[in-house]
Amino acid sequence: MTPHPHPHPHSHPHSHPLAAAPVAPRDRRRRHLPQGPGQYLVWAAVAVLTLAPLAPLVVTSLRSKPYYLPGGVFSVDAYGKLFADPAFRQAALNTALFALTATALAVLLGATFAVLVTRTNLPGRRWLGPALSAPLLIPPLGLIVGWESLYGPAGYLTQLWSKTLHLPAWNLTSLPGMSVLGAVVTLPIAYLTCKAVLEGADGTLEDAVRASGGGTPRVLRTVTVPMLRTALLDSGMLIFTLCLEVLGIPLFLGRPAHISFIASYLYDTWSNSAVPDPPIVSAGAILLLVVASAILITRGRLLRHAARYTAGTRAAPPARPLDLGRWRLPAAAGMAGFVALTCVIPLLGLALMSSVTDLTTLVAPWHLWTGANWHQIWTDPTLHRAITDSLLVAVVGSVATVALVALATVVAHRSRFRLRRTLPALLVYPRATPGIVFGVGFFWLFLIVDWPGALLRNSLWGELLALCVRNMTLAYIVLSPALARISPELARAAAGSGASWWTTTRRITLPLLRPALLSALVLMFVTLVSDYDPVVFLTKPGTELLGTTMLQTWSKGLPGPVAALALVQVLLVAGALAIGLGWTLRKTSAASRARKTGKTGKTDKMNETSERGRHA
Amino acid sequence: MPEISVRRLTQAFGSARVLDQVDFTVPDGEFVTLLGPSGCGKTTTLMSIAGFHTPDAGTIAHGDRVLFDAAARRNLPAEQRELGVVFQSYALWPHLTVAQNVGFPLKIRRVGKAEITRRVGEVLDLVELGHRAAAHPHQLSGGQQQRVALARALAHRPSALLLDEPFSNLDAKLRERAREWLGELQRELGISTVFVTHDQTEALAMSDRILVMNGGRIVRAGTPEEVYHRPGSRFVADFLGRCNFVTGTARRTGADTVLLEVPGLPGGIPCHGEAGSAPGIATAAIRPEALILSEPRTGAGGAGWQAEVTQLTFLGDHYLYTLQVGPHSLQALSTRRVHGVTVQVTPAPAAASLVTDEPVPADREADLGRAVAPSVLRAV
Repeated sequence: MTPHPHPHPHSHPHSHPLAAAPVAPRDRRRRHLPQGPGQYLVWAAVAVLTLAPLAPLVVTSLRSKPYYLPGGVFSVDAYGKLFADPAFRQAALNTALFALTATALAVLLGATFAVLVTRTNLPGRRWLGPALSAPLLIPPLGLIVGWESLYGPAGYLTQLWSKTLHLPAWNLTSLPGMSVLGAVVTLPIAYLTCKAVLEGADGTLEDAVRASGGGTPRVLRTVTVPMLRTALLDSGMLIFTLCLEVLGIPLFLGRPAHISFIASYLYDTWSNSAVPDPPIVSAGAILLLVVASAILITRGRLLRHAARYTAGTRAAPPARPLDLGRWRLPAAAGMAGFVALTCVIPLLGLALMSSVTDLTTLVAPWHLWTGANWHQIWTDPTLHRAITDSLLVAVVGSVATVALVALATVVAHRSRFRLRRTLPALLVYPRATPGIVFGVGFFWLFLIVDWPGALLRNSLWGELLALCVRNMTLAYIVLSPALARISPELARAAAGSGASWWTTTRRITLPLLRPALLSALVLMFVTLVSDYDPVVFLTKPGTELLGTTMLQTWSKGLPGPVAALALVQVLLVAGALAIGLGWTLRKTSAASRARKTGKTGKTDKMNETSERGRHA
Repeated sequence: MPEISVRRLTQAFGSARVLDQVDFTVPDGEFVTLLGPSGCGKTTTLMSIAGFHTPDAGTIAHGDRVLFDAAARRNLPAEQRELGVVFQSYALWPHLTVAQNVGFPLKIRRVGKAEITRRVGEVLDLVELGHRAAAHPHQLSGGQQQRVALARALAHRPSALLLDEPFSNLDAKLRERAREWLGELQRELGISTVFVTHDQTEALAMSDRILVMNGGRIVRAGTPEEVYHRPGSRFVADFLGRCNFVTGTARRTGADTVLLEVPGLPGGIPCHGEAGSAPGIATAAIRPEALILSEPRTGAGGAGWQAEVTQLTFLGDHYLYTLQVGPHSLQALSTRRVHGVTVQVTPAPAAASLVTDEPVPADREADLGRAVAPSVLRAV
């Protein structure tokens, strides 16, 4: 910083008295810390964390024996064995069939619901809309256990239906049955994607059809549905990829019927193999990774020019919603019934199951009332520890992840850091990678890299790392659109005032991101409480988490405590959401109060951001 | 306060030149305006000075401090340039109060708390917003926000002020007031100012010097009067307001006067034309207000042409006439309503000037801009 020679404009004839006052003391200015090292640190942390688990995966899949055994050589044997195994081929076929059916169902229903909610005069659409995205936040294992206990072959409602009413029953533990559950879990993705497109579209296009004399069916056929084409393709490919890696559904529902998916095949091979840690699991994980990446890259290619197909000029709903006529009430009842059957009732079933000795239609539940399950999860050290450990992981993990991702997001989008363009890809790919792949990868990473691997391998922190890295993406997809909505001029103004990059980030950018940071925090907490597939290979006695403990307890044939644990998960999630929502609402009301005196409400916009982020 | 000198800034994206040898100086304490249509490179130039944009070539210096030198690979970060910048959106931080916004540059410089309070109060009083120090930006009107942005830019006593279309978000009435107010403040503080706008009225009213840009080049530089009356090219003449263009044969009549002989306009048009311009086919630009209208005179004799009024538009403070003079259609402005279909049109003396069809980069022209000293102009 060169102080310039004549800071005082005495020379000017019109010089204002103010201008001649002493200049801010320059000698006391802080030195300009170089911004580079810190930015490199952030980048390196992200790059190492996301890429490190992949390398050992490739290496171990190419060994003839587990990595640590002597005498192993490099070979592609594992891949050969994998493809030769009829069980794997059956599992792959099952997975493909499941993914196709679930995707088709999810996309179809999701798009229909999106049109109904955004474009019609459906009664109660303001409530039904958010309810539809609930499965995104409900812990997946809880939902699965709830479904199993009600709709499974021995489930309460199945029994009621077939034994009491003597009607033909369904079979949840079949491919179609599991596909329905898969569709329910992934439907919110299709629904939210379509809804975003419809809400961002120019409603006058639809009004124009009406003005030209078209009725409701024609409006839907000529404008509304074609508008959704890209959204359908987009969400369909995403859902398909997610279905490929599903682990909980086959483990809980497929096992009794001996239906295996790729993920559960790998899990079973791992747990039941004669040789511990067989390379075939690494090979399978690599295969899963390649397929998932291929689909997502194709998706990126296909959607590269998506902007061409959107009007994007003004986002306004049509002047008048489509009239459903006499279908109004049936449609609303159908949608409410869907929400009730898929989410509300299973959660109630979960609560019921956690509080009875046995859920059966033969004896009324209140005769079987028991606190034993709750007592057990409180007294059994393993189950109890699962809860406290999960809570610890969720609290520490969400704070740490959001902190790192927030910095990485700002580096990626608001800096001149040389490698900034690599950050979005690094941040997005972990979630696109099947969780089980991350699990195997981290297992080998901790084993191969002795320090700090040995430390992490045997403690909770290893699991925390795997869970956090895998879910970093969620924080990023909340923070990056929020950051994009903050004008870059705000940061420039800080630089123009003399603030360094780090000062600008700390004092301007991050404070402006506060609502989005809170949303990201809540979303991360919710996910860390519920997620389990990255840690199924890492969990050890003494380091149990909720998800893995539920899997193990379920396989021991103890549904009661599992239901109780699942309910604990649900309550933790609900608590986090309530706190987050409460904070947002408080801020919103404060902002609207402020707006009464002021003119524009920027805080309001930010709250909107956080709300949207929560549903992302 | 030292002058800002911008030398040969160039930037190209593929074959498109965003900046093409942009070269100018902002003398100490002057108000220099970069004027041009959108996409002409004016904001890019300003942001290059501010440090938010990196051109491919050229240098930018502020006094003896080199801010940017492409050849020497020197590029001082924006935060070390010691300039005051007002952004088009004002870029007020919504989470800070007015006082915190204005105090931010001082806080960055580790100024003591008491001194910050004093200086913030001083600067806010300067922009007449001392009473709104505790408000948040969203509670202010557009005009107030703009003044807070200016106060923030001035708080740390920058040695120059950069303004990026600061009035574009204000309504017409407010804009006019803000213009006068800013001009007065700038003269009082005597701070070198670079101002970017696409509004020619703003540029003419406020500047000591105007640099008209087009296609990444400075196509005309000079005082507002020079640029307005001697545009030099058809583009500049057109951009700065309504203009008539008449093509004819030029005949030199003096050192810098030319007579344009135009068929259908007897007597021709006496024009200003530089010594260098070659005689032959040429185009003259005449402002509509330089055409004087009068009642038609009977009989021949006297300067001027008989014209037929084909259209008359009332614009509030004056009338816009569309006239047909022989084969030519001309526009004339007059405060007077001339009755009748036929009028007499006389070009005001020395009101027309020759223009080229292609804008000529100003820095490759003879040094037009330096002809009149800006300080003289201010006295006018």
